[in-house]
Amino acid sequence: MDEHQPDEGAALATRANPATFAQVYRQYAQHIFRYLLTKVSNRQDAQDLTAQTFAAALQKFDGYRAEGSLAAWLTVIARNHAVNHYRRSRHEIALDDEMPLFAPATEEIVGQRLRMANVLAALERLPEDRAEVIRLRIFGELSTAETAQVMGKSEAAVKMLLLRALRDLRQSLKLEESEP
Amino acid sequence: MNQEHQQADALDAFLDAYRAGEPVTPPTVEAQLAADLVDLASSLQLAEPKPQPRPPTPPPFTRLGEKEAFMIAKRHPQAVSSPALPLIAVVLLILFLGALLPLVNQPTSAPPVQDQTRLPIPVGGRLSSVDPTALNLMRDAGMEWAVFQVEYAQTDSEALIESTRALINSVHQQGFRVWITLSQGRSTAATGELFTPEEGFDHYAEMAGQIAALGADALQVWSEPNLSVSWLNQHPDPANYVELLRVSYEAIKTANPATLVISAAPAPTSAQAAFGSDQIWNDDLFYQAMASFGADYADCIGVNYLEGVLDPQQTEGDPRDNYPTRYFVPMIQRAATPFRESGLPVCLSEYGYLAGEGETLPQLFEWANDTTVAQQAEWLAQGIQTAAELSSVRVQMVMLYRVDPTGDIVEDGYAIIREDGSCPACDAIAALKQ
Repeated sequence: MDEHQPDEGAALATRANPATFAQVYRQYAQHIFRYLLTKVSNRQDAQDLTAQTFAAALQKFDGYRAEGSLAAWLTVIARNHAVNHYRRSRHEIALDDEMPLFAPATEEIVGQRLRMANVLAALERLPEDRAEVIRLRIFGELSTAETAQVMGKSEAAVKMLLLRALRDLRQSLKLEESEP
Repeated sequence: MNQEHQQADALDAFLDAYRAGEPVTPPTVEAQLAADLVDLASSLQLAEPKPQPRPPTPPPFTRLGEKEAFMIAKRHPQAVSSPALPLIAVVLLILFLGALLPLVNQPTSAPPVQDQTRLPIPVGGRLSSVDPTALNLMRDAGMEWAVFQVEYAQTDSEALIESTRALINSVHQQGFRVWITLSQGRSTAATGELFTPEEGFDHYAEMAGQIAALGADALQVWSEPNLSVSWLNQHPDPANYVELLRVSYEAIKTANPATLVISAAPAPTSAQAAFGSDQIWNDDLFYQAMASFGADYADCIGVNYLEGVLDPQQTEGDPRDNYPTRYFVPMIQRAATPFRESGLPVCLSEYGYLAGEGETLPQLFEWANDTTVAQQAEWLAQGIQTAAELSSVRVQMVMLYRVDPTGDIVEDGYAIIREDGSCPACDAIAALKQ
């Protein structure tokens, strides 16, 4: 073998860096951010964790071999960062009135039907796997197959879990609305 | 299947359809809630990172002192030389060394190209081995240069030099000029050693000088210096890179003045704001910083262009977005602009189009699924012609990213020699011969 022949696995990873990383970021950053926002309930933390997720993804790119879904792979990295974030800070949910989670315009747009702060609070009251399936499937925009991959469940189980999670969330939101 | 399973399936199908923008009606209250949540989620936007119009200024040349002294030393070495020697001694020394050096470092050289017709600009391509069949196709197309990537190693330098000697001699025997890209090696990364001005640059420069002495016709110093992964995960620092370029340039030119020195091409990217400048510098900011730190320690500025899905004349309409690196001419101009004052030309060190025709590319590269081999051939030829005719930028050479297939689906998508041995791009390029 020629001594200068490159390792092709490494070549793929190397090619992935320049040619695609900005594109990967553009394609998935919003999904990862929204998923993380529902995990940490704090916009600034979610933004920081999104940046950390992509920085870690860049470092770990040798480990990604295009065998599974890239979105699922990124989401697992994001989830691990969120877990570490909790461990480090023992973070308390910060829904401070003086520092609104979202710009007023955003709240006005969706305020007629759902308020994000209420959704976050309602998610907190759900069993973890039911909250997680909503975060992944709806806010993270993962497919059923990708959600199943991240959660380690079958696709049928994910579908059923989502149905039940939405039922619970609906009840939880009603509670939220009825509270003063 | 019981009713709840049916509801779960219906919810799942509704969610996918709703997200895809299809006109669907929520079949259940849970589906309505899912739709509301999708709307709510889409209203949440990650703030665009603030652009960084000026690169942060890292402390330049900490080892050498102030930049001004550095520049003076480059242009007027006598102004900073230590103890002053009597003039006659300096003259004698220069004459002696000038007479001696050619005898010590006698490089091999490429025979002149026999073909009387020439491409409008020198063209070459990267090979994984000295394959006579591939070289014949390149020769017929009018190409004169063969590019090889050699991995720099902090250890086992003798083996690196000996294998490179064999490589250069072999390519010269085939009548091609040799371009060596001396890049970071995985073996270097595995040692865990630092690669810094203090820890490794002089050794790298020494290796570069030795390779030049072997007769390399062009030597590209490092690769993708704007990524931390190119620096053993240390912060990419344009000042450090310019220092590496400086010591390498001096070593190369001392060993073989005929060897062209090409600066490394930063990876085209816009990800600096997302990752931070400790991980990635945007290529345009890195070029600007290189220019401001005196990167005229090169004969040519390296530029890569590998992400095109349109012909090289286009400057808008990319289906992904309109970022300048998507387009051939804007990419070249983006790189060349900071060096306009110094007048340095541009060398396209990696130029290619990924053609996904007939293959299912990995998810990261799906953007090239619709590019055909015929388009690849046509666009490469158009790009070469365009580069030769650019009036705003002087392009000196064009090196194609991948000539021969290697068995990797992405690399082979870039390769101009296809799996069946045909080379449509060779025919298209040959048609440019004048």
